[in-house]
Amino acid sequence: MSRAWFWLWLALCCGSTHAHKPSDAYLALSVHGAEITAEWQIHLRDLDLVLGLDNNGDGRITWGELQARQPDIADYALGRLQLAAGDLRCPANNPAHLVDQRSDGGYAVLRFNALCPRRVETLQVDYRLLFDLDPQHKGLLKLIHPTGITTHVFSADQPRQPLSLAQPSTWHTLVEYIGEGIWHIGTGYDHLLFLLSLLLPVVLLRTAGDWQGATAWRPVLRDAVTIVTAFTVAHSLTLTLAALGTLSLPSRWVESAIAASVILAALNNLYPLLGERRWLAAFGFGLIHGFGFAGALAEIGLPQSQFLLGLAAFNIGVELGQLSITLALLPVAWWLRHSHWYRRGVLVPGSFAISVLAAVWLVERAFDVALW
Amino acid sequence: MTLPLRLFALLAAVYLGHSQAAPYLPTSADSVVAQLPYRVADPVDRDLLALRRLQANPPSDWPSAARLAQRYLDRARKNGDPRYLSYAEVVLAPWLQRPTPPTAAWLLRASLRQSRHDFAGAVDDLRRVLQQEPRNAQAWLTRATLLQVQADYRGARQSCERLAGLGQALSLTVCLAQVDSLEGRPVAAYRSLQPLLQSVPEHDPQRPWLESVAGEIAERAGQMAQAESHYRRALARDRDDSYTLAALADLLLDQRRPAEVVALLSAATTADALLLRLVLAKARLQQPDYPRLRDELAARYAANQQRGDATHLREEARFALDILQQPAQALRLAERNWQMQREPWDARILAAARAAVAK
Repeated sequence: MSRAWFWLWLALCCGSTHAHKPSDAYLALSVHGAEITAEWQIHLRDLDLVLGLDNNGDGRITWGELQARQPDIADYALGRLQLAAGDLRCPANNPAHLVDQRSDGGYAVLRFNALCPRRVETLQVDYRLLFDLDPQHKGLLKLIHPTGITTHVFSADQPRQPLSLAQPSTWHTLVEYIGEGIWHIGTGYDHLLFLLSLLLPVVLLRTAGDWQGATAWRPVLRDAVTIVTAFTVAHSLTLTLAALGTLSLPSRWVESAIAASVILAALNNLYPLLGERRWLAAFGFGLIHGFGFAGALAEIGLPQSQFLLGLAAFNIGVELGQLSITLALLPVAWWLRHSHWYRRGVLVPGSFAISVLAAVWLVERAFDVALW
Repeated sequence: MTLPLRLFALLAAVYLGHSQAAPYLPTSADSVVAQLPYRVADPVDRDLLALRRLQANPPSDWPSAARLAQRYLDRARKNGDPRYLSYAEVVLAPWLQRPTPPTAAWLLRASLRQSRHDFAGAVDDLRRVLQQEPRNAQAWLTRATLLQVQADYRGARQSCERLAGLGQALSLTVCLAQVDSLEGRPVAAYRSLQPLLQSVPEHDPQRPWLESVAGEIAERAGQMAQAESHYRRALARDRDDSYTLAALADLLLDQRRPAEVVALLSAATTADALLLRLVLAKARLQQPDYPRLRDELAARYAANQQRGDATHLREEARFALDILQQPAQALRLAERNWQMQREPWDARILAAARAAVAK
């Protein structure tokens, strides 16, 4: 292994004298989740052999001559490369064309993306460029993924190879999915606003028709903890059940219901719709929010071999995010609870604004329209 | 996607490791992006171009196919461009798949395999040729050469002797002289070439080959001055003969005359073998462009390793030993090389690597 690294290290610097090498093409595939970013370098001599690029026959290929044949180049090359995640094809699209100069001459550079139907764990590559015209052609593939880089050689004898992406370490998966969880709660404004709406009045007491700052902190803390815990338990439950495939609900319904829950939570601060036991609402609606998280997690995809680890880590991430926001919010709310501005400025108009926003979301999600 | 992972993927995608320069978008439609290896003014190239268009429609008659394959092989040998070997391979393939292929197809493929250092495969193809045509002088001579590379001197001598009675006096004498020189009788072998060196005219197409072989045998006989003049005479007739250029460069390096090697090879950086000798000379002279050329050669060897190409192990072993000062690596390469070829130079590098490791 060290030998290969030594040669590679030495290979970093090069002059520009032309040399006679056999026919090689360089394919770099960067795999992340279900997306593949690719760059394929093919020697212009080889493409000229196949397609005849030198229009005026002067022994030189100009950029103009190359540009004229770019659609043919893309068709030819992409028609001889098949990428699949397991047995599901990943179609290539968005080809972009550039040029590179290496020590042995000019190369056409083809950049494209491929989107797989699911997260890639074993990349099945079928490479057949040029073998019918040059049996010694080799496709030198460099596979880049978050846990490492591996190189593979495709030849006429071995045109089809399954490449398994290295198993990420437990630690790596843990970190990745906790991060995803934190990200999703941090950018999940509907979830945050729901929680916010329930927590804003925690530091207040509802007296006849009005709000007043609470006096004792223990009941406030207990209240907050109960609400957050109820929410957490509920969404963890449905997130797990949905991720495991035990329960599933149509996503449009789920998203609309989440928006509705935010409306209700916000309006509850104006008119006591949900009663005093807001933690029940937190639990009940939390069940629906859990389906929302599950949908987000399904888009990222969980590795088959570390499924439960990823799921648990994602859940932990959501809780961590939630907890940090709550811990940031509560002391501020407690400190401001007696202020007129909090009761009249933040709570009431704020809740109203939240409910309006959530109403917009509800309409957008239920009817699949964009209002702004 | 979390930002750190996204960044990693982006950086990883940028660091391709393959590229020596970054891909770019040319600004003008007239900027040249590639030079093709044929010159329109050259009649041979034009012929090749016309023949190459037949790639799409391979020749349906054997004589045209044979001519095209031979042209490709000649071109490959002349400028060391391995792509031409592949093109020849493609032309020959359908003919070799027939139930009774033309005999010349086997001969051409033997020549192709020899160029690829597939010596065992080439000998096998020659066996088929000789089964059909036991009087094919080209086949016997090629077989003798291949067996010499594999150090089967008895078999090589037998192949040489089959040239007798085929009207190939020159080839017979040279063939036997080569085997003699390898079996420990180089002085006698060199003497046996003298009549030929005197009788064969200067303009004879086989003269350069004769001079080159005479040079090798003279070197084995310890007559360095004679060897050098033979090599130079061969090169005077054919400047691009990379085999003789390499032999002369090695002789000059052994005689500690690196400056002359640089003068000889300074323009010849295409063939890897010649670049090696140039780098060895520049290393001795400590010339300023030595690091750049050394790195370029290392990159070429790395590319060979990457694509699984094992035809230049002797040179790679020399590079590892003399330039990189890596005896263990050199020994590994030399031993692998020894499995495939056993010419005097292969034995020499193996012994040198072993000695260096033992120190």
